[in-house]
Amino acid sequence: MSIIIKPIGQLKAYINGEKEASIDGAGLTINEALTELGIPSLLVALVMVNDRQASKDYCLQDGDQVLIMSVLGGG
Amino acid sequence: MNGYGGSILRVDLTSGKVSKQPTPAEVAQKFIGGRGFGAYFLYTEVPAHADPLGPENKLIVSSGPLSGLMVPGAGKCDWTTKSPLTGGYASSSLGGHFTAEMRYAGIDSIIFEGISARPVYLVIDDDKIQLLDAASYWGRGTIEVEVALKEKHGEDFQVAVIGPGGENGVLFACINHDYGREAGRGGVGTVMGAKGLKAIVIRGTKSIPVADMDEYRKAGMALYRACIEAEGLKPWQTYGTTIVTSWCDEVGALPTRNFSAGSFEGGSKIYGAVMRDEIVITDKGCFGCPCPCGKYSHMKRYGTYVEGPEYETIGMLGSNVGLADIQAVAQANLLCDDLGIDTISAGGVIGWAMECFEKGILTTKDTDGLELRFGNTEAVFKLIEMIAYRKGLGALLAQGVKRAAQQVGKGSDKFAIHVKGMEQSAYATHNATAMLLAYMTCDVGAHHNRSWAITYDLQVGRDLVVPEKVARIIWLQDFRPMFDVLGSCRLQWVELGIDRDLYVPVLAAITGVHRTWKDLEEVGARIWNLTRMFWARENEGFGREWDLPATRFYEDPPTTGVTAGQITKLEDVQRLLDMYYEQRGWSENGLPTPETLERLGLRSMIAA
Repeated sequence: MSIIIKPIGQLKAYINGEKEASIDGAGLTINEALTELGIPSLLVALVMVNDRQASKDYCLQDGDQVLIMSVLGGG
Repeated sequence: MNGYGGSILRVDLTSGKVSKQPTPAEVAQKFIGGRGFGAYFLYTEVPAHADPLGPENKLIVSSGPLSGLMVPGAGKCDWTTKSPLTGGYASSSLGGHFTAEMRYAGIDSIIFEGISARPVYLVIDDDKIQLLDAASYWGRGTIEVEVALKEKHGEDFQVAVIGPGGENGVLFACINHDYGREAGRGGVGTVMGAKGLKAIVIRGTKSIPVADMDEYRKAGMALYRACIEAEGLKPWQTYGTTIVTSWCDEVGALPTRNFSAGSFEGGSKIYGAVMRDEIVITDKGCFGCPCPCGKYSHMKRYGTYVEGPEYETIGMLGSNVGLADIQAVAQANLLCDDLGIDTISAGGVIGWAMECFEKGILTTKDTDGLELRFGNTEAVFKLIEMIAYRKGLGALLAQGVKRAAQQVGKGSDKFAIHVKGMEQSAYATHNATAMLLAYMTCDVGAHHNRSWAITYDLQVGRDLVVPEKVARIIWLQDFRPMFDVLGSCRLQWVELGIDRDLYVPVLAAITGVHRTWKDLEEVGARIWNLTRMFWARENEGFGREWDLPATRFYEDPPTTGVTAGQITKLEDVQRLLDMYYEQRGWSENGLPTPETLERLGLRSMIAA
C-alpha cells in the first residue's frame, strides 16, 4: 500500500527538498510514517488526510492523501 | 507624497475642534507609517508622566503606505497610546476595513487628545468631519452600536467602537470593528472611553497617490499570486489560527489552568478540527485578503454567533480556565467582544482568580457566591460581565492581574502571569527559552506577535541558552512588526511562507522610495528603541527587573503534561537578558546606550 506524503514549506528539507515522498504505509500511523521519513514529529503542527485535519495516531489507509505542515511563524 | 493620504487629523475632544495638518515628510521618511507614526507622535507629543486616562494622553490611529491598496491583507491600522494597564507603550493592531476608509479619506493618522465633557462619536465623510452626540449609544454593546451606526450613516461606512468595558474603565478594554475584529491589547479601548469617545464612523472616496501605477499593479498581483499558489493556502483557510491548538497541546505550549501546565487533558474538545465541525459556518476575511483566516461561528446551544474564536481566545478562555468545550469558549469570546474587553487579558486574570480560589486565597465571600473552579463555564461568563461593569470581584479583576495580585497579596503575585503588567498571551513557556525571551522583551508587555519562536525552539533545542536564539528574537522583533508599520497583515508571510522580498517592489512602486528589508529592519530597530525609551521616561527605575518573566516560569514547573518537571532557571533568564542587551546595544540594565540612539537617529529626539 503506497501512501504519498506531501510536506509543506520547511518540512521539505527532510525529504531532500522533494515535493512529496512515497512510503509503504500499510498499517502505519502518521507518527510512524514521520519516523520512517526522518521528519521530527514535534515540528509537524498540522496533518491533513484527504483535506481534513487528522491526529498523528491516525492509521493510514490505501489511497490516503497526506499533507503535513509546520508552523512557520505563529501568530 | 506618494503612498500617503497626506493628512494628520487632529481631534481635540475637550474643545470639540478638529484640524488637519499635512503629513510631515521627514516623519514618513524616518518612521514610514502605521506603528511608526504612532511611536513618533506618542513620544514627541504626550508629555512625560501624563495620566493615561487624562486629557494629556493621546490615542493615535495610523494607517501605513500599503493600507487600502492592492496588497494581500492591506487592512491593518495601528492604535498607539500610553497604556493604562502597563503605564508604558501600547500598540495594538486592528484588521478589517477601517484603515482602507482612512486612506480613501486622505488620512494617515488621527490623533485624539483631551477629554469630551459628554459622550461623542466622530464621523468622517471625506472632508466633512464632525463630532456628534453619543449619549444614546453610551452603555450599549459594540455589535448593536455598529449595526445602529451603519443604519444611520450608511453601510459603506466603517465603524470602530468601544463597549461598556472601555466606558467603565476596564484597564484592558479593546476597540471593536466589523463585528468581531479588535484592537485588543494594552487598554487602547480604555483610553478611548476615558476620552468620552464612543465610536469613529468613516468613509472615504478619494484616491491614494501611487508613484508608478504599472509597477504597482504588477508587483501587487505577484503578491496575490504567491498567496493563491502557496501550498499551505488550503489548510490555512480551513482552520486559520486554530491550526496550532492541537500542536501547542502536543508540545506543551497550550496554557492550562493559569499556565500551571502546557498540556490540557480536555484539549481535544477545543482543537481546530472540532471547532470547524461543531460551530464554524463560514470564513471571514479582512480588506483585500485572498486567504481569509477568520471564522464565523454559530453556537447552537446559546443561539448566538461570533467571529472566532481565534487560537489566542481558545487558549486563554479555554484551556487556561479549564474549559473543554468549544461552544462555551466561543460564547465567552462573544461576551468579551460585545462588552469590549480583551479576551487574552480576560482569560489571564480569570485564570489567576480561579487559582486563587482553588488555593483558598479567594473564597465565596469574595466572589458573591461564585465557585471559581477551573472548568466552571458559568463562572467564566459571569466574571466577564462583572469585569466589564466593575461589579463585585470584577472591580478588582478589571485592573489587570498585576494590580489585582498586589492588592490581594498572600503570594498570589507568584502566579500572576504577566510581563510589565500585560497578561501573557496563549503560549506556555516553561521550557522554550527563545519564546520566553520573546515575551520578556516584547515592547508592549507579554504579547507573542512580535517574535513568535516556538518552532525555532523545538528545532534547535528548547532549553538552549545561546546567542543565536537571542539574535533570532531580535531579528524577528525588528522585522515582523514592520507589517504594522506598512499597514498590511503579516500572516501571509507568517503562515503561507510567501517570499517577503515580494513586498519590496510593491512598496517602492507605491511610495517611489526603494527600501530593502535591511532598510526596513533598521526602521524597525529605530521604533523598538524609541518605544523602549518611552517606557524608561514614563517609569522611574525602569530596567532589567521589568523584563523578568512571570515567577511561575522559573520557580514552578508543571506537574502534568509534556513539560512536566521542566523549567527555565532564573540564572538562565538573566543570561538571556545579558545577551539580549548586549546584542541590542543596551546597558546592563536594559537601556539603549547613547551610541545606539545616535546610530538609529534618535539622539536628538530623546534629548529634546
